Amino acid sequence: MSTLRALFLARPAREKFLILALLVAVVVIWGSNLLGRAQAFASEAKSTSTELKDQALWISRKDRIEKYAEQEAANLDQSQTLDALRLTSTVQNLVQEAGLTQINISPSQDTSAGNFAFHTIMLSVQRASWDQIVKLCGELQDRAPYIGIDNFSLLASPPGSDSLNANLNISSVEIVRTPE
Amino acid sequence: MCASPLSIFRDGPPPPKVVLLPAALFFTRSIPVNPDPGAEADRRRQAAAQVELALEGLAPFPLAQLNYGFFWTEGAPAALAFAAYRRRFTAEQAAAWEGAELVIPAFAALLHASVAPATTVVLAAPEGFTAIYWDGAAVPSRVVHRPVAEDATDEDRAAAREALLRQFESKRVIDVTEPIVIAAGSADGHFVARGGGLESPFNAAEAAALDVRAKDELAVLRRARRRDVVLWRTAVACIIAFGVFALGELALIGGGLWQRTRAVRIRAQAPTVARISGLSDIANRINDLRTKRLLPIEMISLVGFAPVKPDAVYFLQAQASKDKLYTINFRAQTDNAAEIPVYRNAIEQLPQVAPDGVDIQTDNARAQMAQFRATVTFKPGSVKFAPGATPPS
Repeated sequence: MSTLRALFLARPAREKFLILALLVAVVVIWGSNLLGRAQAFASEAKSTSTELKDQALWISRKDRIEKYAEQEAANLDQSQTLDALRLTSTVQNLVQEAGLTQINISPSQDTSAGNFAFHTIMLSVQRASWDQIVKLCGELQDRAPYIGIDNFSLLASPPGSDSLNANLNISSVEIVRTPE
Repeated sequence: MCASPLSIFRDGPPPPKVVLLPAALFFTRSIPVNPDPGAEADRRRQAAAQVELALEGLAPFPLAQLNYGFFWTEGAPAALAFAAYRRRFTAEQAAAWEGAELVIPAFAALLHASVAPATTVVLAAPEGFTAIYWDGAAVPSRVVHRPVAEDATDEDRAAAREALLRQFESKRVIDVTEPIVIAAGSADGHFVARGGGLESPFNAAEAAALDVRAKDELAVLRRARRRDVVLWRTAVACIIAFGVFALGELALIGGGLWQRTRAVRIRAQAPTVARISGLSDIANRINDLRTKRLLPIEMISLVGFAPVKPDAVYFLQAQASKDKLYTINFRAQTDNAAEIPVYRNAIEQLPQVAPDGVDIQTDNARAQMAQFRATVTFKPGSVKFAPGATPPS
C-alpha cells in the first residue's frame, strides 16, 4: 500500500484527480449495480423463505388435515355423493320436476384432492315463476350436504313482472373411493 | 522499455524527491532558543520565530531575500540555522525544485544523526568538505565548509580535510564519502537520511523547518500536500469499497447457490403441499355443505312480502352468495319514495335481522319514483330452511 501511496502522490495533480474520478465512477456504477442485485436477491430470498415456511406449515398440518378430511367424509354416504355426470343429471331431473323448460347447464368444473372431488355447474333459468324457483331450490336443499348452492341471483324480466331469470352455482361432493 | 508492473511492487515505493543543495552556498549559525512550555506545535512555532529574529540580526539581507531553514529538536537549547542569499541560486536551479518534497542543504540531511559527544561528521564532495560537529547536544553546534579547487590533488584534498578537522576538538570523526540516501519515513511527511553508517530521521515538523524554499511557497505546497492526502484517502476508501463489493459479489454467488437449493426444495415439496392444501380446501367445502347452507329463497321470503314489504315496492333483482352466507342484496323500485324509510324500518324490526344489518342506498329518484339498493344481513342461524316459501308480490 505504501508503494501505491507513493506512486499516487508522485503523480501530477490532474492525474490524481483523473485517477480518483475513475475510481469513484467505478465505485458508483459497481455499487449501484451490486445494490440493485442485492435488493433483488433479498426480495427473492424473503419470498422463498415465506413460501418454505408456508409449505412447512402445510406439511406439519398434514396428519391433522387428513384426519379432518376423513372425519368430514365419515359424515357422508359414499353412495349418495355425486360425480360430475350424476350432478348434471340430478339437476336436470330437478329442473324438469319443477316444470322449468328454458334452462342452460354449463359443463362441470372439477377440483380434486386425495379421495375427494368437487364438481360445480352453473344453472341458468329463464322465464320461470317464483313457485318454480322455490320448488327447485327446495329440492336442491333436500339433497344437502351432497348438493349445495354457492351463488344465487334472481332477476325480474321484464322489471316488475312475475317472469324471473335465475342463475345458480351448484356444487356437489364426490368420494372417489372410501378412505382407508 | 517499460518495467513490469509487478516490479513496481517488488521494488517498493520510489524514494521521495529531495533536492540536496551545495553546502558552500550557506552560512550556518547555532542560535539559542528557549520556547515557553506548552504544546509541541506552539513551542516549535516559538523556536521558528526566535530563529527568524536572530537571522534578521545576523544576515546582511532581509529574510524575504534569503533561502533559510533550521534544525531544532524538542528540548534542545539551540537550533542550527542555515541561510543563503536567494540570488545565489539560478532560475534553472530553482525550477528544479518544483515537485520536490524537500529542498535542503546536503549537510542538513545528517543533522539528526545519533552520535556521541564531540563527534565530527565530515561530508566529502567534489567542491569541498563540510564538517558537522556535535559538542554533546542533540543539535550540532557548528557546521563549517571548506572548499577545494576543482583540480586539487588527493594530497590537497587530504590537507583541506585535516585543516577543517583542526577547528574542532573531536573525539571521533566519521567520514561520509558516498552520496547521502534519503528515504520516506514510516509516517506521512517523515524522512530518513542515511550515509556513512549514520541514520538521521526527521519527523514532518522537523523536515518542514529544514526546507529552505520561500515560506509562502512552502505554505502552498503544504496545502497541496494536504489536498493530496485527502485525495489518497478517498482513493483508499474506493479501494476498500472494491474489496467490500468483491465480498458482496461472493456473498451473492453463495446466496444464489443457497437460493437454488431452496428453490429445488420448494419444487420437490410443491405436489405434496398442493395435495394437502387441496384436501384442506375440499374438507372445508364438505363442512360448508353440511353446516353452512345458503338459503336465498328463505331470506327473500322474509323481506320480500307483506307485511314487511309495502305494496308499492317491486323487486327487480336479488343476489346471495356463500361468501356472505347470511346476507341478501337486492334492487327494487317504488312509485312512492316515502315508502322506503317505512320499508327499512319494517325490515329492521324483523327478529332475524342483525343489529345495523340494513343498508339502503337510493340510486335514482324522480318525483315519487325511486330505485334503491338494499343489503340485509341476518343473524347467523336465524334463517331456517322452509320448503315452499311465500312468494313476494
